[in-house]
Amino acid sequence: MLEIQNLTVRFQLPQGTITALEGVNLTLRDGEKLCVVGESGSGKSVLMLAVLCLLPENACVSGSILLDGEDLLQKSQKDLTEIRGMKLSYVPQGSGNSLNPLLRLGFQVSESLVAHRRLPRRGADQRSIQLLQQFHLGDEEQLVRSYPHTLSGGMRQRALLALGIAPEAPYLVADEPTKGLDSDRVGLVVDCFNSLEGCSLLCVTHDLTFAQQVADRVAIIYAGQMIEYETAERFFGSPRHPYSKALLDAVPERGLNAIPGFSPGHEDYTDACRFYNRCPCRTAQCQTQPKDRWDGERMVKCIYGAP
Amino acid sequence: MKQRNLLQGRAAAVTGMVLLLLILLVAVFAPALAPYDPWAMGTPYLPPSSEHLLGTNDIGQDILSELIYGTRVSMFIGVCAALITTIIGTAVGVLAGYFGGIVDHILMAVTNVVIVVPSLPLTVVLVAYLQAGLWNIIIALCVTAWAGTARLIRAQVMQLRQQPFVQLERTLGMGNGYIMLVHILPNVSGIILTRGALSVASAMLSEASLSFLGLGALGQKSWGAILNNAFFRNGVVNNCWWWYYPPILCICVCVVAFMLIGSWDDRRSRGQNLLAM
Repeated sequence: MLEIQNLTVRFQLPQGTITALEGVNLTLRDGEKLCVVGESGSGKSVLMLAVLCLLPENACVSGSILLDGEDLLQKSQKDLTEIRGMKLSYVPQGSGNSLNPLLRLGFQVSESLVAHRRLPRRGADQRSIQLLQQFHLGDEEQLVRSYPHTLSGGMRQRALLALGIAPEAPYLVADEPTKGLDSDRVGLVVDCFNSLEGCSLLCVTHDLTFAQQVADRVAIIYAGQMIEYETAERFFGSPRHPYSKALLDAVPERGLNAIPGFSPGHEDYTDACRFYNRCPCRTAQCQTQPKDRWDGERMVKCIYGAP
Repeated sequence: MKQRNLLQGRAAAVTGMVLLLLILLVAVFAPALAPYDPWAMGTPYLPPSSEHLLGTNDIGQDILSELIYGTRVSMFIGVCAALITTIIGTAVGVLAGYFGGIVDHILMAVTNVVIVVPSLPLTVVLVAYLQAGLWNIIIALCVTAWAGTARLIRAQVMQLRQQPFVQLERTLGMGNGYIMLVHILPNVSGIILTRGALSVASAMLSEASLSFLGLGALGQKSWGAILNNAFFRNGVVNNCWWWYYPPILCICVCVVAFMLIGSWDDRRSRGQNLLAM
């Protein structure tokens, strides 16, 4: 079980302090799949990096991140190296240099198996082929011997998924795994994630359709705060927070009604609810920040949010 | 068009390699190629003739044979010094660039001090105090030469450290040593090879300077030592051009060979550019 308790992340910059994430409470149960949804800059990537303990050095983290009861924030670098390879695995974004341009793909896909499981090199290439076949890359025997620059963006993204699931770690963290994939290929990712037996998934995405197909539970992040935490079934049926409703209305299948305005920048944070300026149902009460309203395993940060 | 540029870029390096191969062959087969024993004495001050292609020196030693054997000494010193220089420079550069922070501060402080020290006078002083053996010369040549390589590699590694694939390795739970060896080093191999080739050239030049000043390895006939003999044992005064031009020419050809090899852009030849990906 992964428990994030009262996680706050601040960055010390020359211009001042920026609060990227504020008081986030989350629980990822064993075998559960959680999608964290939010706009760019909302803090969802910071949340993910915090779980991996890979925030830059100027980050100031408070709260706790308990992985099976042990606080990752208190761990030494050496312990973290163990945990990252064996317990916690990561699927990075495919854009940019997520693969070493000078090493063959097969080597990189099963690299963690060789390093942590002492798998012999020859067997590792076989495993790479199997892993890649799962994502229908085509001609995988040839592919494991080629270099990353010969792959297209979508192929690279799928190769990274193969790389991420290779260690068969009980916890998987994925950063926008469907980026740059067309809907057929997204289906492959969905199948892959749904077939991961007993693996807990923390997936950052802004693809709501994908989230609906994969997630057991959804967390919505807005301007550094978690504003709704809900089972996927209920979230996609009747979201509680006005922002969540607006998000779902913006999905093409539901009419493509975009939310007017932009989320506030870090310098514009006031005492009011962060969604105040864009909220269709704001009242005078919303001038002060609403509390996290927990109701068992669900949460909404809004004075409305019908149960 | 691009294809042509690529070939042109390679042509220089290939020329350099052919030259180097010839020089290496001469060094390896010196006993077979040299017409005389370079230490055997005969008639002094003979000008070039069919018997002595490059004449003889003041004690009648055959200069062509001296040059052929000198290839071994000069190349050995140059290559060994460059190898040590490059290894130290790479290690310092990778460690400083990868770890940053206090490690970087300390290593770069040392590097900067080494860079500002005037290298030839320091080498001269070192050689004067150490015994003038082959290895002491090599060590003296290495003391300051690694700093430039270290700085270049550090700069490149600092960029690489920020690359997503290095971050990814950390999330895969790979140790720092593993990441540096398997992921960082191949990405700076171009710089290492280029700098290595150039280091050989500069080490050979420094060795020639030292030998010319009479601080070379005792009892070893390097090209610089032949030059020293020509200068201090009346070769120049007596206008024995066959004594002092050939070693200069040999040093030049060797240095040019290594510089041509050093001009080879590794990344371009692989047809890919890391930062363009």
